[in-house]
Amino acid sequence: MNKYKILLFSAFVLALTSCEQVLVQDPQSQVSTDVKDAATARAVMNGTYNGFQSADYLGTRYQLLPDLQGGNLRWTGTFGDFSEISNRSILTNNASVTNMWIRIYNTILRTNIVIKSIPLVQDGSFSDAEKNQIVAEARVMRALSYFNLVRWWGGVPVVTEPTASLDGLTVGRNTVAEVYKQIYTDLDAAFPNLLASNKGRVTKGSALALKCRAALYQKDYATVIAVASQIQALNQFALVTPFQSIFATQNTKESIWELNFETTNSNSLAFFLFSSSLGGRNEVRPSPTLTAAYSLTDTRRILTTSYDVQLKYYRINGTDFPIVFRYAEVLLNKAEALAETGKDADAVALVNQIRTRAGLTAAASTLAGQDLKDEIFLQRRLELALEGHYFFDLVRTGRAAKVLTNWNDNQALLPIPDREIKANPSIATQQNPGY
Amino acid sequence: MLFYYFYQITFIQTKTKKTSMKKRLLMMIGILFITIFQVIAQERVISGKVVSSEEGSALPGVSVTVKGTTRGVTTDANGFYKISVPNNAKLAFSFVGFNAQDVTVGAKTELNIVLKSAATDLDEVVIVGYGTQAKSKATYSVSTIKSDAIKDIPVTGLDQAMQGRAAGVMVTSSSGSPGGGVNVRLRGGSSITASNEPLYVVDGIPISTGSFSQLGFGNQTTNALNDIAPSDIESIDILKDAAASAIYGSRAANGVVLITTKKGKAGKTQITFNYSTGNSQKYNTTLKSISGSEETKLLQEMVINRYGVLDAKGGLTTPAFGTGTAAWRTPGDAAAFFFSNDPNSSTEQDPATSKLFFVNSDAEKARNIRTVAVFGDPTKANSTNWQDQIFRTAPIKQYDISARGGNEKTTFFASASIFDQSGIIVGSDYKRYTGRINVDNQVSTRIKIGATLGYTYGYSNRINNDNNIYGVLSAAILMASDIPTRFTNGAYGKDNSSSVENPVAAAFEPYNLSTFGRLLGGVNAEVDIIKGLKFKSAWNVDQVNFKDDRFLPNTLNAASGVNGSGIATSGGNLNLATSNYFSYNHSINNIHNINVTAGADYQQSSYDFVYASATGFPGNSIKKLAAGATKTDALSDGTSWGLVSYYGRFGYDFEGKYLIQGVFRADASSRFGKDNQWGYFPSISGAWRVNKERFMDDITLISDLKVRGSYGLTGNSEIPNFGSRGLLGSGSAYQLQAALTPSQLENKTLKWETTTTSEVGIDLGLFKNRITLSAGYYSKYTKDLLLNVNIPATSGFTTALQNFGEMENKGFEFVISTENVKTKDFSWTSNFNISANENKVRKIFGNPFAAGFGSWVAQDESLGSFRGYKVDKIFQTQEEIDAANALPKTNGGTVYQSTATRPGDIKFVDLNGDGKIDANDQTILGSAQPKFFGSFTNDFTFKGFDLKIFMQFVSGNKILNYTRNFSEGMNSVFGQTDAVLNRWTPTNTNTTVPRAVWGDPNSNRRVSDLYVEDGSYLRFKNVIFGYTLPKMLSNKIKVDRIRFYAQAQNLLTFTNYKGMDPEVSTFNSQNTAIGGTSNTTANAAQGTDFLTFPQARTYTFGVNIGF
Repeated sequence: MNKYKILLFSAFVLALTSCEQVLVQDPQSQVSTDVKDAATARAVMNGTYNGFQSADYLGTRYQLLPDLQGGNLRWTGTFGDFSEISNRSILTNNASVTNMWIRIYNTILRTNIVIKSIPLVQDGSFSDAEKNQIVAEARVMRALSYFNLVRWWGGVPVVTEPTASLDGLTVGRNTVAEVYKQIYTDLDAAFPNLLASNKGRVTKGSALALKCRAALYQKDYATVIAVASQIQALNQFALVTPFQSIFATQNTKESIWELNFETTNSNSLAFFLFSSSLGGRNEVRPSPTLTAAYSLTDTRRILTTSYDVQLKYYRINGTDFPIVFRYAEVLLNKAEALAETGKDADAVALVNQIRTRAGLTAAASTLAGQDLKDEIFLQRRLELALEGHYFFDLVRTGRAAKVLTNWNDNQALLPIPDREIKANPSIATQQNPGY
Repeated sequence: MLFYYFYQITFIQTKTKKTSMKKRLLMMIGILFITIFQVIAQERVISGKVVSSEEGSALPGVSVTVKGTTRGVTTDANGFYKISVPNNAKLAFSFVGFNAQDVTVGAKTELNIVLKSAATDLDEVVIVGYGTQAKSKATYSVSTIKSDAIKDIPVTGLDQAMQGRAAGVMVTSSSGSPGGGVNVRLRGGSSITASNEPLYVVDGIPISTGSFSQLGFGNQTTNALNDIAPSDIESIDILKDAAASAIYGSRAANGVVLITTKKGKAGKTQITFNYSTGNSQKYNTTLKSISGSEETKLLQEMVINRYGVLDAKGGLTTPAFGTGTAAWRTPGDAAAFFFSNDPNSSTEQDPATSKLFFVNSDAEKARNIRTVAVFGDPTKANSTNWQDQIFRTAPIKQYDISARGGNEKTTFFASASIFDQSGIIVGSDYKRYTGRINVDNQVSTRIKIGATLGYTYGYSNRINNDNNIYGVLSAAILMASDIPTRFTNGAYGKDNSSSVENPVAAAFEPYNLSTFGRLLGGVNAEVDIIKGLKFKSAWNVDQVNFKDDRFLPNTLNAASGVNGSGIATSGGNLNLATSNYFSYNHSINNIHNINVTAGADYQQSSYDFVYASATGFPGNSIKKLAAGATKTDALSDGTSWGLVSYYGRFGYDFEGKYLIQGVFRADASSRFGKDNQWGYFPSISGAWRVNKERFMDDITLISDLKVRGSYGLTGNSEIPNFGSRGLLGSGSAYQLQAALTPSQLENKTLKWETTTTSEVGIDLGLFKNRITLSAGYYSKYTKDLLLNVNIPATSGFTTALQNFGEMENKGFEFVISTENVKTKDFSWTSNFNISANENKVRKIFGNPFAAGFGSWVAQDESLGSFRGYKVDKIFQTQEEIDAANALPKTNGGTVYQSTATRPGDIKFVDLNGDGKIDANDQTILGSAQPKFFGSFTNDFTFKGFDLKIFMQFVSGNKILNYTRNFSEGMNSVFGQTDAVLNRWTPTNTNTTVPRAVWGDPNSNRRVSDLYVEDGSYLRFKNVIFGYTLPKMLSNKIKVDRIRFYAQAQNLLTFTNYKGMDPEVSTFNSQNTAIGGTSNTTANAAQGTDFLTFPQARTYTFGVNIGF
């Protein structure tokens, strides 16, 4: 009996000791945050591009919300937050506004990780040139994100360090000027190290196009003209015909940076725009006023009723490739800057490039003054509809009050999300006026 | 691990053989002696039959010995024995599972004995963690539900069966979906972020619970607890206070539910067969949709109210739906233009009046929806009653068969069952097959081994519902009634202005099959080492498999753009656990009694799954992904956790009068942060059995009186498996190159939530326990509450998991059971329980936050509070609006509410008095937590008849009827219910329903007290009426017992709630295999009704047969 007891007991003890290993468990599809080798570094870089692909960012809302705010789109769906945006009576807890804020800062975190950690990676297969190029791309993406923040919300907190712990997370708002300063700093620092061409990634052309756009918003017309000329001088880009081919074919000569999607990594643009019978959710539709703005022969015409079958976003499987920057915008930027600085003849010439490509007759070379500015504005609307410009163009050119019903100036900026005001005591009293 | 186990078993068996060899030798010698005795002593023969006190069945294998001798026999297969005894002998009858009995033979020659089953002993035994305890000696409250209470009711799972059966146990079916999720709260929820579901332990195995489906169905979940057939359950013991549950340590904060399956019983094999069949149907007619012509009128009114100005001649001037101006000939023209979706339609100008009119295309005319003709004369509109087409009378069937028997060495229980239920909404059903075998064997006098094995297989056709535009009920309510079921060309009727699916298509077209299997079993051994000292070892496995197959044909909105879409998933959870403990009982002269338990448990759970999806199918006949041209997703992933525990229990009592008990558990979990690997959970409790005191001897009225108190700590470890680590997540990509993205901030100190519970209670028995009363008061305080603390999103993260908050639950429970009448032919017993729980969030990080649709988590408010605006009145005139706008203008503001406010819009209350309505004008509108709840059961028997009436009630809770936010929204093309017929119009001003206006620019639909309703109800949950044939008759057809019964579930419901069913919760908890902090919505937004599948009324007829 004794022997039996000893055996039983030792078997028991052995069995239990070997069981202590149940405490050793590790995640199977996640890794710790240290970036130590080239492969991880490149994956983290890809993650930065992936940040833009969210439906809360360039994957859908970036394109739809400004046109919904401006009236190019009308709300026909079920999302209450879209309704608020289309009415421009936006509550501080609006889900789309909140998620966009979150997503843009999340993308900024990704760029901050790249900018901070990649220069420190020690890996023989990872050249300094590649490191510098990756960091430069991240800087342009950070600049684009801050640009999107500043035009939607005004002066926002500028964060340029990756978050590693729960300390020091509360930061106050910077001024609009400070945000633009950060944008220019990043763009200028990045420029020398960027790729010359690759339409799926950030290149020298993208950095210039962003700088051109940012300068236009700043009414810094000299810079707009200078940077636009710099882009023209690259001789990489041109307007393509037919107009539709920009969106039908990837990597046309016109596009500067387009965001790529695949069936396994798709966006919701067509899904939000399409009617239910075509597999969409009919959330927003082009408004009758947008349709009416096009002349019948305009090849860019977006119909209210037959939108489903053509134009900018029409791949219901989510593989449309939103174009972040394209040459036509650069020309229109330059035309506007020229018109604003009294160089009307040069401006008309540029506008006519846009008009004739669209199948319209050229405008008279005598077009000048306010008429010219109105024509440039109209062409921007028709050319860039649903590409994330219209509302901002209305606001920055002072047209919002004339065009939009129930307008008040506070609507120019979105509210800082309620959750942010509450989570960050430093901005508790810094909500945008009117919210 | 297992090797050692088998080693042990083999070893034990080898030893056993030797022992029994010895035994046989001894027995042979004994028989020799007996033969010799027979010759030399004065002897006589005595015979008789031994039967069980339960059912009176014969007991074979009972050992019958002559006291003080080695002489003995065992009863035969029919319970008969024959033994020769000396004069004045005493016979001892003993049998496993029954109380031993000594009988003086006297002069009798025949002696029939009824052995009392140990389980039916007056001093009831309750199952506690790692052992059992006499109820009279329990120092805490344990609620026990016996199999009898839950038999014959048509429910899928034991959690549903628990509803109303025990005080302090709040069970809410989240929907009426067959096999759907159920929320169980023992004494209120103690967590905001982690699960609030109790720990379920089946035959000593802590099991995985929750939903294993990987597909979303609105908010419809599955429930892994349904894998256990209620008919296999012997008892459910619910440990609520810390004194009892602390032995389960870091997982016990929400209480522990111990489930014991039926075990074998020595004696003649008893076979029972149960069959029931019946039907379910929708029990009420609320949410009645308006007709097609009413809908058409409403749509036109919405458009005119938003955009139009009517002229004197009935024409309409619209600012062309937002900008410019357009003069229309009739409102019908404008409305038809607004809803037009056909490019071939056109507008033309009337040469006489210069006004616009609208010409529908032929295709539009053929569809006959929202054309000029229909708007001009709404009686021409289609009218579809969608609800009629998706609700049905649904059959339910149940078959159980079981066999139970054995001898004094080996007992067994074997069962098989089929449960087959169709949902009252087309397209939903649930079918389950279960089998179980439990065997116990007394290897030797010292060693007992046992095995339990249950297997479940089943499948369920599921449908979308709740917050889902592709749902069936949701579409049936949200799809306007002017849309026909099918167009004249045979295609499903669709509303091109709406994203909602055709309800009939949503019900019939999708293929959503969930298949599940579960193996739940284990082996155990118990060794008597020395007198009073036992060692018990159990090794268990719980394996869950779950598979989803989805195919959406191109006839559905969701898949029409991609030519059919399919998803296949397969997941499995393997949960291995071993439990090893010593227990020691010792009594010194029956005065000082001690018992000690100490042991160690190890558990590991791993969850793996694969998921794949494809689009582009060749037609709709092939549903498998093999046929999909584009594979849109493929992934496999897994996660795991492990737990090491040491525990002990020490109990002491003095003469069974003064009782004290201490429990201790130490848990180490792989889930906890590096700096907090071990958690410790002690508890202490005591009781005084007053009726055992001398001075009580004369008070015969009081048969039992116990005062008890307890204090202890328990934990909640339902935190994510790797929640403490800083991580980069995978799974994303750019340009088909893998990406890593930051997913989590590190928090090394992350740990379990700790709940401190104190309780005092009293148990009272009167008139020989014909009336028993139990009352208790408890207070639970939880700290280190796991919170996804909101951090500034400028950090790139929105939340960080931290132990921060605090929560309090306190309340009382009261149970009274009475034997009102007890005569030979007639008996009537009643059982009433009532509980009240007050829940308050005592501390959260930073500011209050929203959850669900209108729920709010704030300090000093209860979890499940609703927050929103308060309705003041309906603006009747423009002057009233102007007056309201006057104050904000003086403050430099613009308007009171909105620039778009017009007569007929709601005026909300300006709570902070700043002259304008903004987010700060919201307040708490009530809570989903009931003030009290309970049940009242009455059992009657009269001769062969039995009647059980089981009522339950919930009172003082609020429901956010979010369905009405849409079905009475009057802002878009959604289907509307008849409440909108009373909407505000210039001629119908005395109403609480606002005007109809497209787009709702005034936000009349914001969450307000308009949608928060009283959710109290009283329900006749089950009424069962049965008749048992007299034995005389049943014996004629060779059966022991035959009973017929009729049952009604949800027979009557008394409530003021306007929705389809007051027992509702659209949000559900997550499954425990993954560990999760995604339970915030389920916990905080309880009591929300959003297009949820309602409970049915079910009638069944059944028969129980025993052989």
